[in-house]
Amino acid sequence: MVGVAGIVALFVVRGISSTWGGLALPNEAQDFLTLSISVIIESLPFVILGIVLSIAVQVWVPDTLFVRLLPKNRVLRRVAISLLGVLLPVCECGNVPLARGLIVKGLTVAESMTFLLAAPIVNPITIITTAQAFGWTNGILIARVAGGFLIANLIGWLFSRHANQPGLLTPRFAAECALPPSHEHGETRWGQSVELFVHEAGTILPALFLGAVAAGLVQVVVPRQVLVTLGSNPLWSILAMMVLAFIISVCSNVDAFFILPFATTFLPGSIVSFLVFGPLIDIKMLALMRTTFRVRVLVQLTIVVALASALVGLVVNFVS
Amino acid sequence: MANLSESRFRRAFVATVTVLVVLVGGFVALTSQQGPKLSSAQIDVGGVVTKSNEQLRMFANQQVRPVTAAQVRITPSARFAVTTAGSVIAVQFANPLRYGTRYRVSVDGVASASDGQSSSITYEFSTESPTLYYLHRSGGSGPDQIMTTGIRQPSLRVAYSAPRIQAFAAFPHALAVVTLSASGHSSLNLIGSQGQVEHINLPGAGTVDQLQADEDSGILGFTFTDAGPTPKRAYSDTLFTVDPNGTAVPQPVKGLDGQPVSVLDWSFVPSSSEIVAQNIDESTILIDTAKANSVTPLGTFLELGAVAADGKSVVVVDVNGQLQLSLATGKTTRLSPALLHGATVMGAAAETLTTGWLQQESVYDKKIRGFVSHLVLNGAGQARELFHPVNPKGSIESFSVSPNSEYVAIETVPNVSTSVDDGYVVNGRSKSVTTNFVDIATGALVKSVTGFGVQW
Repeated sequence: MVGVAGIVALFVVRGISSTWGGLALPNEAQDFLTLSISVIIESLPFVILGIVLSIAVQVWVPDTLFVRLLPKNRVLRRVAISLLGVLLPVCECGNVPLARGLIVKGLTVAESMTFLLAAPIVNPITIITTAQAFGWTNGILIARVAGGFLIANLIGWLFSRHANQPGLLTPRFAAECALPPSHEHGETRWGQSVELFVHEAGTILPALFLGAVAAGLVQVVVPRQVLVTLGSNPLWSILAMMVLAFIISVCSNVDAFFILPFATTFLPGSIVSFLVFGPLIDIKMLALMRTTFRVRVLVQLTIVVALASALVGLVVNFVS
Repeated sequence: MANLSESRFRRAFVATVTVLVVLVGGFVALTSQQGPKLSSAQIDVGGVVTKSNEQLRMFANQQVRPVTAAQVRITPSARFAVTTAGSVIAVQFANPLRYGTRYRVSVDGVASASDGQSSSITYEFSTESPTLYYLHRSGGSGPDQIMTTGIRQPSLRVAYSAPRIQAFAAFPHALAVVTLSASGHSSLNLIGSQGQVEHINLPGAGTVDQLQADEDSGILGFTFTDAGPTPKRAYSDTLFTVDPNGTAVPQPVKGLDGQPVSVLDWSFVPSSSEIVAQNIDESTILIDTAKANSVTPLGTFLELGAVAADGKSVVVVDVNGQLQLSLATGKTTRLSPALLHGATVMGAAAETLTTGWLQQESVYDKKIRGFVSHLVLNGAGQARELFHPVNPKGSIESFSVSPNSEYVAIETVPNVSTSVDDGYVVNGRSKSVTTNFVDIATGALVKSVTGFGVQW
């Protein structure tokens, strides 16, 4: 309810402020509202779709289906999981509830992380929009897909080294995962679906609201021009683009078009870093992932993903 | 067990981060030693041989410092200007380049805008060879044919055929064809690349003449004279334009008084939306078809000749001879040819090139008791003969220079004394009319075809 109320409040204030005439909000406040609402408008359909897919996985897919279909070898299993995004084309916001559903359904936390990080990039919508924006120029498309795939599997391997997989989760979500299936007795599948939708929406929407507010606020405070002036330096351009991706929190399905105008200013590698890092780690994603993973895990995840994204960008700059 | 698990993960995490940091550091060092690189380049290899001021745009992978002309090398050489904007280095060619030639453009010392690291950028491209069209009349033995061929290629193909083709004009993907009916009236059709025919309604029954196509705008122009006795004509050599991709309805071109103009001669001006025309009272005007009521008087001359390929000037004739008239300023420069021995110049048969101009000259030959035609390249006070008919009794009917001034197509009648007219009431020719293609730089005859009306 808090999340829904916050989101509705943002829309109401933005709508009313446009009719206030002389009492209109300052430009910075209007920018903040517009930017925050744009993140919500962009993300909400995918969040809802992700929750629905999560419910489908948890309630309607047989318990052992994923376990039976996926390879037994752990490396091949993670490779297969990182390609699941091709079948479940949800952007990163929708992947959080879906990844939660996969954990509930028996995947390890490391495997779920692999899906969470690969699916926003290795999915048909993202590949098509990136191809439309950049074509084969400078290998941006190839580097993005390959980079996303490799980073997801690196993270999957790294966290698979952690023997205490539930220890990576927040205590609350770990407890939910530990509940015996018997607690659902007496309910129809539709009933379970409705209950899960309310529960997941109640968990995810406040995080989305807070993430959108934070993204809007930082964009108002930090001028984009500061980032653009760094565009031509091989190292600073990559860092600038990763910071930009972190701040603006744009969805992976549309981020290629967002960044296309910057392609004439920034080095190709920095564009790739933006397109790889943004879908995996940004303000909104961290807020959403905080519903599932411990803070320490998110810090470790961010460090590795940031370094790997920068490396992918540097390699592209070197060879292109 | 928990501690063991933690330490195993911690070791993997530290190792992963360490490896990534080392790799990132290594690539930072490597990339910081690199200067800008060429990401991609754009050039219209067809347009660059037909138009002036075409650009090669080289996209560097990062913003670069301004490049000067001294840093640019072009092989084979060509006049150019260079500009830099962000990550784009634009090399603008002053004149059209040579056909079918591989060019290499190198830019040395291209410096990164951020850290000054420099490198060389090179791009190579091959220009297109022209597709030529000309009209071959059957002489009554079948339909007339519009032929297509290459300048250096022997291949020959019929692009379109129809009975009694009066004239044609070529667009890149279509041909505008005027045919004559048995009653002597013209009919105008647009023939698509797949052979589809689109009829264009003329202002009435009458004859079309001086048909021209403007490749840049896709517009067709012609003069029209309606049938019937002269005093009752609504149109007499009235200049019309028609946009086949628009309404496809011919519109009269209006002169200084806002009325449709009747012309002795006219031409599209390349690389512009302008038309230069000589009215029937010999006044010459410049009309911008893209602007309403934009008509500029250029003066009164006896004849209007060929517009230069760069669209900057036109040859005109006054009582003292030929002049080069600047279309931008209206200023004239007298063309003073270094004549061949005993030669005279008649009319406006001259066409200016990038450097110098081509001049048709006539030399009296006592043996045949007539004049022999010569085509002469003039410039820098010197004259070099490019072509003359093999038979002294042959004549040069007209000539047209390729848009890049590399070749000249020369219409000749091999022997005037035995020539037979083809009987066409409009745009008639000798049945033996031949077109010869000469390389202007070397004077070499590279091709001869039976026909006329070459469209470059």
